[in-house]
Amino acid sequence: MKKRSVVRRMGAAGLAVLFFTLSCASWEQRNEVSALRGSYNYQFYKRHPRDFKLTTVAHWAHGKVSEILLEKPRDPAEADQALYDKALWFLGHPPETEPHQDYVSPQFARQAWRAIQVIDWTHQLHEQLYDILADPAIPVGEKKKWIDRAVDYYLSEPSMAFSPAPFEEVIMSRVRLTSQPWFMAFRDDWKLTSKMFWAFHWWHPAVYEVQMLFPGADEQKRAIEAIDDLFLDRVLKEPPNRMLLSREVMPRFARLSPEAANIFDNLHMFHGITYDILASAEVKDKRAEVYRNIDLMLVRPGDRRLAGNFPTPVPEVDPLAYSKDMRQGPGEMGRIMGHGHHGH
Amino acid sequence: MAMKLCAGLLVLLFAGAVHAADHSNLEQDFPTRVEDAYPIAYRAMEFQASGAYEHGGDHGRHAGEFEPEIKWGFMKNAHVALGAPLVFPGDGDMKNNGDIALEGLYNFNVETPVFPALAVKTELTFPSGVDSAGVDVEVAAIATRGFGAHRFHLNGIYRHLGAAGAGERSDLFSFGLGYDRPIDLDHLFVADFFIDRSPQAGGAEEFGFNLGVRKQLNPWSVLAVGLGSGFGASRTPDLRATVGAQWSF
Repeated sequence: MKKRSVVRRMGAAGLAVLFFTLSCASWEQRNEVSALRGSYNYQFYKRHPRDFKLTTVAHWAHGKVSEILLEKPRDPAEADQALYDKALWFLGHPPETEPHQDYVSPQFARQAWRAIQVIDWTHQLHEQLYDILADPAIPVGEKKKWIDRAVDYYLSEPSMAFSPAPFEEVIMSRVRLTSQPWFMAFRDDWKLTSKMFWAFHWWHPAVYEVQMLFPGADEQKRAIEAIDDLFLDRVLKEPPNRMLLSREVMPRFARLSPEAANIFDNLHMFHGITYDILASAEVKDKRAEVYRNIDLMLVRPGDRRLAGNFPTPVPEVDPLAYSKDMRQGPGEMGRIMGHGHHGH
Repeated sequence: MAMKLCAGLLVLLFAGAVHAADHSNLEQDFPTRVEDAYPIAYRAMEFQASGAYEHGGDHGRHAGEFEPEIKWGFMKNAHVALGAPLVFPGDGDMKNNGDIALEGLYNFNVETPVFPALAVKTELTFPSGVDSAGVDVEVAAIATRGFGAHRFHLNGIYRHLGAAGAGERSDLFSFGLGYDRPIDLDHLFVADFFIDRSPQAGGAEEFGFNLGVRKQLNPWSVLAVGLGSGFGASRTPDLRATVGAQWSF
């Protein structure tokens, strides 16, 4: 009886310590939410497996950089070269499937779970929209209805959905990017990786645009093969000189779903902001600064009304041409920033 | 009418979301026994079927096991699962086959650089099977903590048998330590080691381990294969080979 009483007291003390520790710890829950169900699910994977697998490399590289930056490499330029080389190798040997970001960057996930959450949640939207555009069973005239449904579902989780408002509002007015002490801290030492990311940020929207232009199953397959070849043979070797905005590479899709176009710009900018924060010696509490910026970039009431407030400089752009406008010049990023900045 | 109502309810419950499979979210006996502290995603649904072959041990010289299980993320950070473990021993004794196990797992927190992810799991096994009696109740505390790409999982389990037989204990304890590490983006190496209190009164503790790989086959399915063995008592198998598949929908 006495022994049982001691065991009970120890158990109660253990529980008290557990709850005290939990209350002191930075308490967060995983809050993982499943993607939206539709007849189109996995259509892109089934119809364009090469592009799907190659795309996983872009997402792997985005996750891996955070992990490496947290480890504070002694020679960032050397780490930049190593990551770039590994990414090129992966593009020749892509994985079968795409893992979650916490699989690729587990230490960063422990450090700043919300960052993983907003990235994975936006990748889910990206997969949904690729699937809808790839599904020949959805008539062209009905694509927007399904895309809007997916965007609605995405925005229904406001704690992890980026704003559908454009770059000018979210990045310039809310984040105030250019006046942050960490601005461009990543780019100086990670030149190869930065340029590779700019190539990735041409590639993803270019695939949206060819799906818009070539909705038929066979013609779409050929067009996406051509985009992938163009990416591997030319764009990677001669990347854009800046981060391109959705409106530049996929103006047709940006007009169809300005919300989605802006959400993806905000995701791409969030990647860059995170790398700057992690690379900057100015920022001591990385987690707090990453979270502060997530809060600034999440959807707010009324944001959808702002979604269409952006120009499309070349509305009839040919995504298969990879024109000079994509490779050189200030582009939209430079125009918005009002000077020669080439973006993030 | 009842069938139609059930079907309608299922459609209402599960319509709306589709879940990508995740080879790094560990489940019990898939292929290791130790599991991690995370549930499947909210609104996700998974079907899993795993089979095992055992050589030696408490089910005779040769035995087979099969367990279908369906899992549903009914709220954020929690899931429920319904399974029906089946054992086909060499001696043909089908006792308990057909029992239904209802499981619920709740995850309290995501892990941080200093604190592990914690979860509690409860399982009720109903005596719906052959010659079965009493409801068994299991409560498990689960912790997951990673260091770099290496993840460790601690499972502490208490099980109360509703109708222990003569010479059997009604209160059982198990402790397990699991480990996983990515091999590459599609493959995860998994291993575990566990200690069970013998279900026989006066019996010695039983030990066991498993090694295996979980492979992401495509965005919606995972394959698991494993090999294990036991020691410390005659009841433990000399060899245990496991294979399983999981589909998310």
